[in-house]
Amino acid sequence: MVRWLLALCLLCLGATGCSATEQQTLTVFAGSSLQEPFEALAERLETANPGVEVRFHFAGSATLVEQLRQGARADVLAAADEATMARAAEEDLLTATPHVFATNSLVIAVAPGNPRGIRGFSDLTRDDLKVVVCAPIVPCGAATARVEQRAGVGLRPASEELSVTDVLTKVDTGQADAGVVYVSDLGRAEGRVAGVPIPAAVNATNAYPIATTSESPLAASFVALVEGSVGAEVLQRSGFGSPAPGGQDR
Amino acid sequence: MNGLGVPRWCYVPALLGGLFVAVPLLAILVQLDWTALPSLLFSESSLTALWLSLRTTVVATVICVVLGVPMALVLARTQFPGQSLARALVLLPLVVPPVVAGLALLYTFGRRGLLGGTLSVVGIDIAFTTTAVILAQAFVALPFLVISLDGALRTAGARYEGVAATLGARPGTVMFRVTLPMMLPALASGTVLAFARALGEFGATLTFAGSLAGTTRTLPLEIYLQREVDPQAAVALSVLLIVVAVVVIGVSRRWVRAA
Amino acid sequence: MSLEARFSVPSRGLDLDLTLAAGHTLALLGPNGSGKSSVLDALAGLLTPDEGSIALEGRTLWSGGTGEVRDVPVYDRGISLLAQEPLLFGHMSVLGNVAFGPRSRGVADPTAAARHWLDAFGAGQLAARRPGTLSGGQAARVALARALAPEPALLLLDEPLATLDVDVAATIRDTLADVLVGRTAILVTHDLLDVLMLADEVAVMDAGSVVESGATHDVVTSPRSPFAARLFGLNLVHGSVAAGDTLVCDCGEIRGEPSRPLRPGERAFAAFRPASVAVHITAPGGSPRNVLSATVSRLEPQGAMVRVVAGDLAADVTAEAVSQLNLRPGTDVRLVIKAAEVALYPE
Repeated sequence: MVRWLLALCLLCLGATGCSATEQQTLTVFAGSSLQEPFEALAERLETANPGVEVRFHFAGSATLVEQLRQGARADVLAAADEATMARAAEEDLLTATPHVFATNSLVIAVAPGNPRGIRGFSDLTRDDLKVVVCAPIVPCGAATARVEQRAGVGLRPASEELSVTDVLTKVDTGQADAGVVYVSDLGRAEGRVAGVPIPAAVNATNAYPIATTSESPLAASFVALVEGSVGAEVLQRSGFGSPAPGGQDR
Repeated sequence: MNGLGVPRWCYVPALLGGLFVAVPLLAILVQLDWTALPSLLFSESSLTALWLSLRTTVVATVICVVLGVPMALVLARTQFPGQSLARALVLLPLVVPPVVAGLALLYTFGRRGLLGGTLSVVGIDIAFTTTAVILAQAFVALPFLVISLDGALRTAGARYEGVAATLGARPGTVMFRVTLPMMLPALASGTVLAFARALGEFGATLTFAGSLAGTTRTLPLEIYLQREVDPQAAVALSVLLIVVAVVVIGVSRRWVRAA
Repeated sequence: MSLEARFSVPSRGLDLDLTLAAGHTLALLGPNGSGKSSVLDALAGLLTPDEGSIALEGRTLWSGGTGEVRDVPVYDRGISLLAQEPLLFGHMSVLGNVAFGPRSRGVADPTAAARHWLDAFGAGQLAARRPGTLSGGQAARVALARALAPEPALLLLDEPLATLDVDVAATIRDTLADVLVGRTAILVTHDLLDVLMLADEVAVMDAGSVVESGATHDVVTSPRSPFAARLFGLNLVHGSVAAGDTLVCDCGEIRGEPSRPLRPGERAFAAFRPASVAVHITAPGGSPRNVLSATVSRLEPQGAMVRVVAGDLAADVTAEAVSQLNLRPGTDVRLVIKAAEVALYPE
């Protein structure tokens, strides 16, 4: 047993040792919803620049900022909302001014084929439905609350989940009849969950800001890639919207 | 006693291990904003979550005892085909990540789960109820009780039970007047372990039961949620969780020693 | 017959045929590993035999294998088993321990029964104590009281006095001698005193079977197994009768006093005490004596004497004789026994 553990340790050491040789590493902290498009973009960056390795840490935006504050090292920070990014700026964690590179809006996630016949946001108050949303304290929940306000609808959710993933799981497994999630999250559920749109008039749009957190030139080129036309195309395919030229949703 | 006991080098890893456990707990206390503590601890949402945690954990622990004691007795004191397989199965919730345990419960008791359909026919719907929280806690905590008791039963052997039977005691009498009283320390430590595990349960609850204040949002879920906006509040609530655990363990130790 | 047990447990190498008269105490003897404790477990129901039957007072407790299958549960057999360790229940008082049996059997006043038996073993003053606070002797008394309190139809005792000081064992043995009168009991022991004071009958086991059994007096004076002979301190020689009073064995010829007239060719034993054996380096003259050639294998202290062990035989001689004859392991000697000291009896 001991020998086996030792071997495992050596293996781990060996692995980290190898990857450290001759490689330039870029570390990106990004909101969980950005996983799919960012990994696609990183692949392009790595193909274009041999020897470059992009490492990701995907988590809730607030968690990312807290980890940076506690001394975690990163080159780029991409957050799922501007308030969180503002906190990072206040803590002096950024090396550049953040720019909004994408937007995300909400959608109603239902079982494929919409068996409960949910037609719009106001249907979510029906007594025969179990509806789950994000807790108001997390960004997707805050956005949901804004939609409730604008639509003049008060939801009585069966559960206020801690993350979008938890909402999707509940809809995916049939535990809940409907959930409110980001459009970009629907893509991740690959056909096991369908979307019922929320009209733009009442929908809440989140702006996704990005900024460098180190002086690494690679960091700047990754930010440029995300903000450029390639980035826009990849993000759009994942369900993200382009930043409104006029400003942001508040 | 000089020259007896553990070899001297043992003290080094022992001390390191002690620090490894103690320092992070101390770091929590150092981090804590003591002036803000009362308002953080006695906010309505914390008290709601604490009260829910205590209720569900107590019920889950009772379920663990009611199911776990007979399970341990059957595992330790009888022989049946597939026994070692059964013993391994009982341990599964320890190995499976709690989130996966929550999914497993969903696939079983969920509305579209194996038993969920049958349950909803008889009018039982445990989705997003406190019952679901209790099920999640009992599921992950049960192995702790079964392991402790099964191990103690097998170490003790069945000789005392044999004596009791030759004195004319039927199996029920042997269990209640000999086996369980002799196993009281192991039963107590197993129960405390199960209670502690249920109290700290997070992943399975989140996945299986959801998170609604007063119904399914237990203290660990509240802590995780608070962390999103206010790490300080999360730290304060963790202190509360630790205090509850320490009090429960302390009281049960004293109770066992008295018995 | 009160107890009739014929059963086999191949996994423990047991194949046993044992009977015991009602009210008798049987001493079960045999080398370590001969299966004595397994016999007690099987009788009590803690070990299930593969084949055979066990009956007590005309009631079949167990039968299986080819015959009718029957298995009376342990708690309903009326058999108390006291193992080598007292195994008192640590969470009960001494009185609670002793009252446990009567209470389980539904006796009207279990506490009174418990007090009676504690007093019988001189342990009445221990009633309120916890088992953890008792000395070895006290625990043994309490364990005996507990085993007897349910008034078992058969009492099984597995070396109950083996771990105790000689003095303590002696007083408890006295009490047991009184208590066992008229009681059906089986006592596993390695102690000659236990056999002489407590047992009406003796059975000797070897390798899972009874190799010798009979009334205590007969087995003590005329053992037919090497184990019993050694326990009772006798040299035992096995051979065939040559003529009248002479036995031919591997070691030579032995004349003795036959217990009854023996026919030539009949298989028989010769038994004699080590103290009756004289050791010489060369054969002495004069001839109403038996002379056997042997080689000393070891010397052991034996009270004030020295025991000279030569092959299967032993002789007790004075220390003076040992030094005079310069006896060492490997010394060739002549063992000389008067014919009048040798008992001859048939197989």
